[in-house]
Amino acid sequence: MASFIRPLETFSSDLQEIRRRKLLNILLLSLIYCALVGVVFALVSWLGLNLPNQLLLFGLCLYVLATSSIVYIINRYGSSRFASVLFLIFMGMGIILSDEASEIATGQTLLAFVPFVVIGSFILSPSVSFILAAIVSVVVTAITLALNLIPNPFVIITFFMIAFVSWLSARSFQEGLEDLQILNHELDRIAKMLVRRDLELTYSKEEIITEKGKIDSVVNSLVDGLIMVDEKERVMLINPKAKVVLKVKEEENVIGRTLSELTNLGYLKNLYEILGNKVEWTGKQYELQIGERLKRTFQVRTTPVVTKSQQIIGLLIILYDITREKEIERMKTEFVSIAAHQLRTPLSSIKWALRLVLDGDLGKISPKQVEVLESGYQSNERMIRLINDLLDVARIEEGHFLYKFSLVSLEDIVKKVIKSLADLISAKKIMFNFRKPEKPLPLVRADIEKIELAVQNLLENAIRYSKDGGKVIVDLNQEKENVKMEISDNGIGIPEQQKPQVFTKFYRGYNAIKAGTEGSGLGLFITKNIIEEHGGKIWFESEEQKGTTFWVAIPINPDLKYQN
Amino acid sequence: MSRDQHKKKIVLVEDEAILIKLLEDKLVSEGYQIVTARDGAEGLEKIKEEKPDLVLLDIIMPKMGGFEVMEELNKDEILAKTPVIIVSNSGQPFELERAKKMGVKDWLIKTEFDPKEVVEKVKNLIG
Repeated sequence: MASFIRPLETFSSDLQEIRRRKLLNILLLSLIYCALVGVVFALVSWLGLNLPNQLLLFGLCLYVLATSSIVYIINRYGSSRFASVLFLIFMGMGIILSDEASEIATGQTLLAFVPFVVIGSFILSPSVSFILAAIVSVVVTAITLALNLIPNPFVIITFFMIAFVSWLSARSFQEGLEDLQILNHELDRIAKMLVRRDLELTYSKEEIITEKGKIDSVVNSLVDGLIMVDEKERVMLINPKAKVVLKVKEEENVIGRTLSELTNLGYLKNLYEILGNKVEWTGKQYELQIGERLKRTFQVRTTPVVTKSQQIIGLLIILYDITREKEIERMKTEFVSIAAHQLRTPLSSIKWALRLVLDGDLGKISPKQVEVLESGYQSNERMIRLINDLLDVARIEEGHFLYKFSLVSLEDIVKKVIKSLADLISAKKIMFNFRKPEKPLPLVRADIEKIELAVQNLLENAIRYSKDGGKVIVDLNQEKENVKMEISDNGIGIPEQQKPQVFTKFYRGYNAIKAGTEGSGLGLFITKNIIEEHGGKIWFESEEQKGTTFWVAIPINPDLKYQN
Repeated sequence: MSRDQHKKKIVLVEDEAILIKLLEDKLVSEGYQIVTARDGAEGLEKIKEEKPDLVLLDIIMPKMGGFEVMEELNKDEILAKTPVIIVSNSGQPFELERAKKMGVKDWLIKTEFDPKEVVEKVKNLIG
């Protein structure tokens, strides 16, 4: 079959060209084969029939063979248009020569001309049918006139009608073909576009896979546990660390199941409980303690997963191991407790022992004995106070100093402290003046104990570092958003060069040491810390031998730090 | 009728020898009956045995600490009612909180209070 088809094949990208060549080839080859058959037939029946008929047939077949071969070669290797025209010429000539003139004139050869016209419109162009019809009409009329006959108009009309029909068919055929060609181009274009799109898609898919691979490796190698749930509480992602921490087996598939469903697995129940038995972003941090023998503590943090359009599509749960931090915290607080205990125990023994003797519980003692024992007792008391200060400092450093906040009246605290220092004030004959506020002061959010300690410290300093008979003034008032306290004395003052160190640990002015006054040097360090932890500010002005004034300002609203 | 039966009974749990001695002497001289224990475990036993009117309890002790003793006491309905005063040398706020929650009546820091003051507190509480 292929060998039959190959001669029909053409080499052209133009559909019309292809069609033309193919059509011509079909016609030619059919003619050639028929001619060959005819030749064979003529040869075979030479013996039985009239010589002229065989000769005619033989001649015709030879004519067809020869012309067809020429046109075939031109069609295959040259212009198909030229081949088509040539074919029509040969065909026309063949038809005319094969019939007698009279037959042509009367229209008997009409039939033979019909395929001539039709083929012309199909292999050249639709309108060619009219041209051919015209040519044939002219030729027939000429022959008719030459024979002195009247031309038959019906012949002409019929011819043109046939030409018309042929033209119509060929045209619609051609248009159909043109439409097909356009469609073909369009399909081509679409196909190319699809191929391109497909390539892009494949590339994008590869990129996505790569990115996903990166994310996966990051998530899987995270030191913290990570769980992601969607808005329906279904687990979307759980990294290996989370599984290990929560004792969920590797092979357990939790993806797609809700947290409330999974509470039978490992410690997921504990986690769910800690979150309040629901999955909601609260912005809070939680603590999860799990484990039987070896307890581990985890900080649980939640973060919403938000799309570009600000829609929350899920929640990220992060488990951060704080066991070590907790342990260190515990050790630090334990240390302070133990240190307090260890340092204070011998001191309390001494205190109690001396007190009992001094109180006469163990018998009467002489005034001289009292004097000596009393000074021992006082030294011991100093030691106790120093230890107290040291413990406070330790707690400050550790960040455990401030404890309980409540609404506090600074006026009450100042009054209380003044009362407790009454003995000291009268002993040094200090002229003490407390300038109360004009109108009641607003309450301040503070740690009562610590504020009291700070106030006591400042007042004690003012009294201790004043000479006997000196003056101490305490002023308490509201200034803008703060409660302000001013404590001034006319005592020994603070040396100029030492002013920068006033609030440092163990600072004691050299003039204070010289005057023989007691002090651990920790008081102002602790006081400053207390004031600042309340969001307040402490500052001073001083002149040696003239006196010192300290100011403390504490904001009423603790969320606002002190502003001048 | 023995005079002892009218005296209030106090169990004193303290590991420091000198402090026990000083406090015991002082309290006895004030007319109280004193039973001493040198550690938490012994203290718990004595409390269960003697059913005292008051317990003076230290916190940091060998074998069993003060908090553990209180936990054990709180488990028993009757013993939980025994008034307890902590006499200790530590005194961090969270410890005081915890003690308060367990029903402790007072917390005295040894370096702040001398025996005389301790006795006053005792008198105020149980007479």
